[in-house]
Amino acid sequence: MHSPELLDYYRAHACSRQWRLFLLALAEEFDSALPEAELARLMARIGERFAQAHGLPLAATLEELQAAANAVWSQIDWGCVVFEESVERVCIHHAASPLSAVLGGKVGWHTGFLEGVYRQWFRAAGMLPVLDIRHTPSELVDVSTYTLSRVS
Amino acid sequence: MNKILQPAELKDPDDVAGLFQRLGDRGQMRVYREFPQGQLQATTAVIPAVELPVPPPVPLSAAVAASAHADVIATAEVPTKTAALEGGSMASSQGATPVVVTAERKTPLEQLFLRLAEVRSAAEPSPLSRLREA
Repeated sequence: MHSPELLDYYRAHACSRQWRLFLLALAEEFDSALPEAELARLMARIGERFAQAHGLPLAATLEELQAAANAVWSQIDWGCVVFEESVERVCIHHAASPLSAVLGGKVGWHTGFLEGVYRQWFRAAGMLPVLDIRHTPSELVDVSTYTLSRVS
Repeated sequence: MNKILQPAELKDPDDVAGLFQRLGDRGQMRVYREFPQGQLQATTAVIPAVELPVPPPVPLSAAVAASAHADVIATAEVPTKTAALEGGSMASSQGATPVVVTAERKTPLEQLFLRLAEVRSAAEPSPLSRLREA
């Protein structure tokens, strides 16, 4: 059995069967009704609403914030995240979300949900107004990457 | 030393103090709180020479005023006669503390945000230079 087959098996089981077909139909309708940019914005607002409902405890370090975020994701089986700090940015790598498992490779706007989640979490943690989080395109279907950096 | 900068003398694009002076109302300086209150009070008190205990000759009074001014700068938290003469219009000079919060008081995460906020691309002009060009 090769890696692509393993990944396909993983993706087929990463999202509950109860919701998989529903999400596919929803995505198809969204795609036909709204531009991708608008859909991404809508998903971001949904993500911010989610983050407000599942706020993280106060964190003094980036590592603490990462651990708090992973505690939330672990509770609902939504994959895991790694924050990678560099000189000019923080890269946010979220792996194995069920949304990516179902819609990854089919649409791009689904990444807006996690963008909104992390934007709200980092704002609550003290992110300054000149900073923001943006999705960074990558070839990895199962990993959504975002960049926290200065935008103005 | 206090020096009223003329626009032509503002060579440093990030000379924030000079920019505010250029904008006009020096009374607004008290809103821009980069300097400790004691230094601001000494700065505005230099003009009325009669209020300073100095001899009449102009060159000597200027030197004494500059010296007194330098002393105030060096000991910004010490109450001075100029503070009393100001009639308390400025905030008390006792225990004057800078408004700018140092990075050392912040958590590592907050320091990270500050560091990222200071990153600026090489092609992007400074905000002050854009304001001066407007």
